[in-house]
Amino acid sequence: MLVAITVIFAMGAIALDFGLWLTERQGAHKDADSASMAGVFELLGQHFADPADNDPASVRAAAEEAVYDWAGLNGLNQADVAQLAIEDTDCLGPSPVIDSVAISAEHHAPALFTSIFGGVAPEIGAPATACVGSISATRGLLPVAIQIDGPSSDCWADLDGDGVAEPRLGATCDLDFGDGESVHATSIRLYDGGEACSDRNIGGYAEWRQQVANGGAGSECHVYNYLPDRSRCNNDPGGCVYVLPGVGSDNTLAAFRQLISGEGECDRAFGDRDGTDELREVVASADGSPNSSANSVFLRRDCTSPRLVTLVVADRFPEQPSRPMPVEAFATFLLAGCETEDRFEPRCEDDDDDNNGSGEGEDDDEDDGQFRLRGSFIDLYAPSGAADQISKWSPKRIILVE
Amino acid sequence: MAFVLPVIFVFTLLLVDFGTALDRREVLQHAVREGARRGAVAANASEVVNTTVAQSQGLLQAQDVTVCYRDMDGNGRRGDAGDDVRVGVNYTYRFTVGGGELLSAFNVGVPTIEMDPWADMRLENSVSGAPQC
Repeated sequence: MLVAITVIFAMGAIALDFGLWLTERQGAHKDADSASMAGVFELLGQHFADPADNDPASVRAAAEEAVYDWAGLNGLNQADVAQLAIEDTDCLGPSPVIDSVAISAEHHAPALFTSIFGGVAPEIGAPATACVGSISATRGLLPVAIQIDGPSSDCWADLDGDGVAEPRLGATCDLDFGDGESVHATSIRLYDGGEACSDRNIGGYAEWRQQVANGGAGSECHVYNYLPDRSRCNNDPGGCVYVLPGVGSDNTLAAFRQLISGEGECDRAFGDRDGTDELREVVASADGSPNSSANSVFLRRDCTSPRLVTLVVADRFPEQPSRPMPVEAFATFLLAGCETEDRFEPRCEDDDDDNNGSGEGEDDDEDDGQFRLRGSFIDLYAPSGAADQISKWSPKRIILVE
Repeated sequence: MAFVLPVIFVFTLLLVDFGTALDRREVLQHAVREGARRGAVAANASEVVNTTVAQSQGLLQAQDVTVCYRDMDGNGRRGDAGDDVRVGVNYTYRFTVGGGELLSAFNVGVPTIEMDPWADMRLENSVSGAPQC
């Protein structure tokens, strides 16, 4: 009987202690997740456009300090952070920068009851690995494409001297709009309603205008990073887009005017309350700097603005509009306003309304000249979209992989 | 035997109560983690509270949850990207499943366990209206 009772008590004690250790392990997981993601946040400050400019030692030191800071905030000592590894592990695909932080958080759980029977508490640790990657999918894509290797604009410059132009992040610039090779941006057909964003040669002018006015199509589009074979477009749904010619500047102006008609949330929350969502009211630099650089990482503020749009990035517009263009990436652009006939309008208002009251949508000769979008490219870290390997152009995000 | 069986019975009930308490602890840790993660991706404090309560399987009410922010980069503003958000909860587990009631029948105070897990996470986007820790 005594033996039986002892066995019953021992089993109960072991069950309780094991339960306690399991809850400690969950707590260790929480701490490891938090510390690793805090460390990876520092990796967002690296130079993605020109990785040679990075100083790996200082990047590691900053990430390590962040790991220890957040481990401490969660109740861990520095000694409880084990197996800290801040490396370029290519954890989401080939990467030219340090892309991951892995740690193991150690918790010291007591053996409350097991110790009565001579048991010893185990070391309880939980690993976590967080990575930085690029957004591989996007929503709310405007049916507008920009070309990298086309005519140069003040939006793009070869900032690192490698012969390839980069977007001048945060700098205000103009995009000439049209449907030929000699422009910076063009209207495109964007399949709305499917999982792919392209390769469906449907959608006319009315649908295009509606998609712009709504702040993007309902599609989710995936980034295809530098497709090696341009002829794959027709066999790779989602990989290519087509120019939609003949939209006209009046109609383009009207579509963008409608798009930004509901703005003001960011201006009220973070700005000067002038009714216009401006760059610094919509995003902030990750490093807190008031001045942006080519390698700036912008973080979206806690507000929504219709001026923050996503555009398709193509390598170069085709000679003939019917030819497909592979999607290279997506660019986030903050729309400052529209310009027609050298007249800049922050709210994309139509000067025809002042002149003759013809209203929107009418193709008035007054505005048949060059249409320009003015704004800034933003390397935006957005909370939506899956993470994939780091690409030069795409917005970056943090993902917990273990 | 007549003496031993009740002891084993009470022990078993206490075992169940302890197991339930451990389950509560797991749920609360999960809730604060989910709440802190929600806060890290730029939800405001009330959304974080709602997330934490929703993840607590009915254990928590809004007044049990505290959400606060720390200025980690020393720029004098809380709630910037890179700053800290802390989600903490306060919960008292009271032994109930037989063990507690039996003990009270013998004039033994019903034991309670205070649980106050918290989670700190780094803000990945900025938030407005960030209360100080």
